[in-house]
Parts: sequence; C-alpha cells; structure tokens
Amino acid sequence: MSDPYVNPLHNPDRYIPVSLSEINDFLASLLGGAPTFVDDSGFFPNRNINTEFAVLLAAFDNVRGKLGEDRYAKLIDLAARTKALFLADPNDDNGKTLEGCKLIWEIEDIIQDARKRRVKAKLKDDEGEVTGD
Amino acid sequence: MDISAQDRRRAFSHWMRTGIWPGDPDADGIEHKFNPYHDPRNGQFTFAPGGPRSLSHVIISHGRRERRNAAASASQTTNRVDHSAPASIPAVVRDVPATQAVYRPSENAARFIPASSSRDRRPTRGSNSGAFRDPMTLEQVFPGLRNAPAGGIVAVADTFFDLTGPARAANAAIVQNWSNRLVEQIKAIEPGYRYDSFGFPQSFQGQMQQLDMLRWTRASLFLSRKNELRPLQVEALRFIQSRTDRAYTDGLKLLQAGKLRPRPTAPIALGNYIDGWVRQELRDQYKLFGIDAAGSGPVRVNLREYDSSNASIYRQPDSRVGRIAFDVTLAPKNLGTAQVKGFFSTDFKPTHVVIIRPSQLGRNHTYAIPRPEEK
Repeated sequence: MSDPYVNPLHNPDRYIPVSLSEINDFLASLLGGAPTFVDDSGFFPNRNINTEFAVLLAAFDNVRGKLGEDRYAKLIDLAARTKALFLADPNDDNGKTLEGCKLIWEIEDIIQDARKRRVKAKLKDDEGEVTGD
Repeated sequence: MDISAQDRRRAFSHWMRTGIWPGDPDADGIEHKFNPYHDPRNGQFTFAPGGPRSLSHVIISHGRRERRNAAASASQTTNRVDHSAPASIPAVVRDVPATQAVYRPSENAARFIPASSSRDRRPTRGSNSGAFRDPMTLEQVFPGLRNAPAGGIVAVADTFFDLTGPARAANAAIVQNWSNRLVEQIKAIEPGYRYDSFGFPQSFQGQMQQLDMLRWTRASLFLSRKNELRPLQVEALRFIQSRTDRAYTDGLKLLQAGKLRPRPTAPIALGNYIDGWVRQELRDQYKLFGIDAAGSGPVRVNLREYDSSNASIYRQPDSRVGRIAFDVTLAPKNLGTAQVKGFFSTDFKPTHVVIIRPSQLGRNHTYAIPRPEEK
C-alpha cells in the first residue's frame, strides 16, 4: 500500500491576523459568520465557532505588546463572553446572537482606541510607518 | 454604336421601361450583362446574401464569392444539399418547390438554399472555445482588454460570473468531464497530484465547489511551479466577486437586524464590512493554497504599495496579484478617482486596476481600467 498522497500546496492552518487592522478585518467575518460560522463555499469545511474564536485569541496574542495588558485582558474576556452568547443561540432565534454582535462592537472599539493612541504617540508599525498598526 | 441623339433618347426611354436596349446589334439573344444574383425562373435579380432573409423561401445566391469559395464550401454545406440526395435534405428544404432551385454553372446539380440558412458555416473555435468557459487569463475575462484604450473601462464578460447558468443547463456528466480535464491539467504540472474525494458530488453546489477547488489548485500550481500568475489573477477575481456579493447580501441583513453598527453612516458601515470580510476571506484562501500574501511577493492583501517618486505616498489596494490591482468598492471609480490614479503611480506599475462591485448593483458592476499612457 502506497503512502497517502499529500497535496504539497494544501495548508489546513488558518491565517492569523498579525496587525490591529487585520484584526479589524477579522471582526467583520465574525459578524457575518455568527452564530455558527459554517462555511458554505466548500473551501473551509472544518470552520466552526471553535476555530474562529481560536483565531481571534491567537490574533490578540500577536498584538499583545501593542495592545497593552489592560486592553488585552478586556479583549480576552469579551471574546469569551461573545462565544458563550453565540453558543447559546445556534439558530439565531433567541436574541443572544445580537447581544454577541454588540460585544464584537466593543472589541472593535478597543482595537480602534489602541490604534488611535499609537498614531497619537507616533509609534511606527512593522514597516516603519505611523498608521496605528 | 453610332445612333442619333433622338434615337438614343428613345432607346434610353425603352431601356428604362423594359430593361432591354432596342436594336442592340450584338445582342442576338445573348445576355452580356453579368448578374450574379438572379432567379432562374424569370431572370430577375434576387437578393444578395445579407438581404431580407426573414421572408420565407427567399432565394439567394452567393454569386462570385460562392464560386471563389467553391472548394471550401464543399465541406460546409450543412444546410445546402444536393437535390440528388433527398435522404439528406432537411425537412425545411424538402418543402421548398423544385422551381426554386438555384443553378450555378460551376456545379453539376441545382441546390436549395433556405432563406433562414446562415451565410457560411465556419469551423468552430475547437478547443479554444473552452477558454471562454474556463478562462485562464484576464484577457479572456474582459473581452477587448488587450486593445482597450488606456484609462478606459472594460466591462467583465457577462458569462464569467454566471456559474450557475451554464452549469445548471449542463448535466452532471459535463461537469464531471470538466473536472476531469482540470485534474489532467493539474497532473500535467504536478504529476503526483491526486484529487481525493468521496466521489463525484451529487448536489449542484457540491459540483461547483469541486470545480472551484480544482481551479484554485491549478492556479496555485501555475504560480508555484511555473511562476505564472495569470490563472491566479482570474481565480482571485472570481473569488473576490463571489465574496463581495455574499458580503453585500449579508451586510444588508446585518444592518436590518441591528447587528452591524451604522457608524458613521449605514452605507459606509456596509462598505467597511464588505472590505474587511472580503480581505479576511482572501487571506484565508491564499493561506489554504500555500500562497504567501503577507510578504513582499507578487501576491498581497491590503498591503502598502509605495510610490518611490514621492516617498511619503503609498496606496493599499485590497489585493494585488502580479501587476493587477483589485479594489472592492460600492461606489464606481475610474481614472479620475484619486485612489485609482494613485494605484497606477505605485512602484509595481499595475497594468490594470480591476474595480469589483457587488453584482447586485447591476450591469457593468465589475470592470478593468487599463494603465493610462505615460506622459
């Protein structure tokens, strides 16, 4: 029996946002995918609520230094509460998904606040520009 | 011919009324005038090709052109058949009276030409016709792109995003053949490739997903093995358009349900939502196929592109594949838009900027803008 063929291109690992602006993009996909995050394109059959929130937490880790510990702690807490609300409303019919979306707004506000402070402090991003990232 | 002026006027008057020049000493019953389009029943002119063919049973003849192409026409007479071969005459032609046959000296037998028949049956495009169903370059996606005027707008082919139309009309066997052809193309690049699945998808959606997966695999292999970006440009466009359409629909629902904050305004919130979602999906897609879209390579998502002529200026197209910039937007943009102009000024010198808008916004939602000429 031959070894199973492995597509050399296929990479099952998810893309983890590496900057504050990329986290902002990811929040849009969280809003759109809530509450179940099932993908209907066929490309990501393993996508679910656990994988999405794992990506979010990993993204927070990537920018932890730029966020500062206080904001980081708040974001971790908000992410946990948001996930719990989505889990409690899998059919999007009891209002908890809407509550979860509003917590995503709070996450977005914290991210934007961090970006504004970085611009104000003239802190440069990884490419040497003052962009908030 | 030496005749008086009065006789000439009389003859001219007679010719005008009858079409016959009186007393022509050379006539002797022989017609000198060449008439390539005539009815053999009465000698009157008939319609030349391209005439009012909507009339039933109008006889046409191809005159000189037909004789010139006689050899070539032998293999192109699907609707023009010999009277001596009744078994092969189509019903529509068999009903035509025999008196309407057209005789040509260059042929042995009279033949019928139905008025509704096309002029010439040219050979089909053969295998190249598949390029328009399965395009691999943007020139095939945007008809006329190659010769489009600089700075103009070239709309995407109507059929490019119509995945469901032709595929639904087709049956599963055709989709399966299409898939098999894609697998063969992939194997030509990557001989060890094997498409693992639990069998051919039964649902229409599953079949389309399989085609998408194979096309992306082909495009990513073209990039990694041959350093060829053009198939990926096509797949990126297809992917961004599908995600933009989906995000537009979802965004409107989210706004209506109060899940998307209408800040600063609902349209801007919708636009930001679409941009973010599409970019995130694109990053995931590139990652899935092993394409680095976060580095300094030719494939990038929302990264800065500098204009070295002015070090403080940069632009961030939603995506870039080679020298093509993709921009997702709700509002139409053209070369007069500062953002588009800025894309063209960046160091990667895009040959085209592709503007992608939700297809729900109507015709010409997506188009390409060729690079303006350098001053």
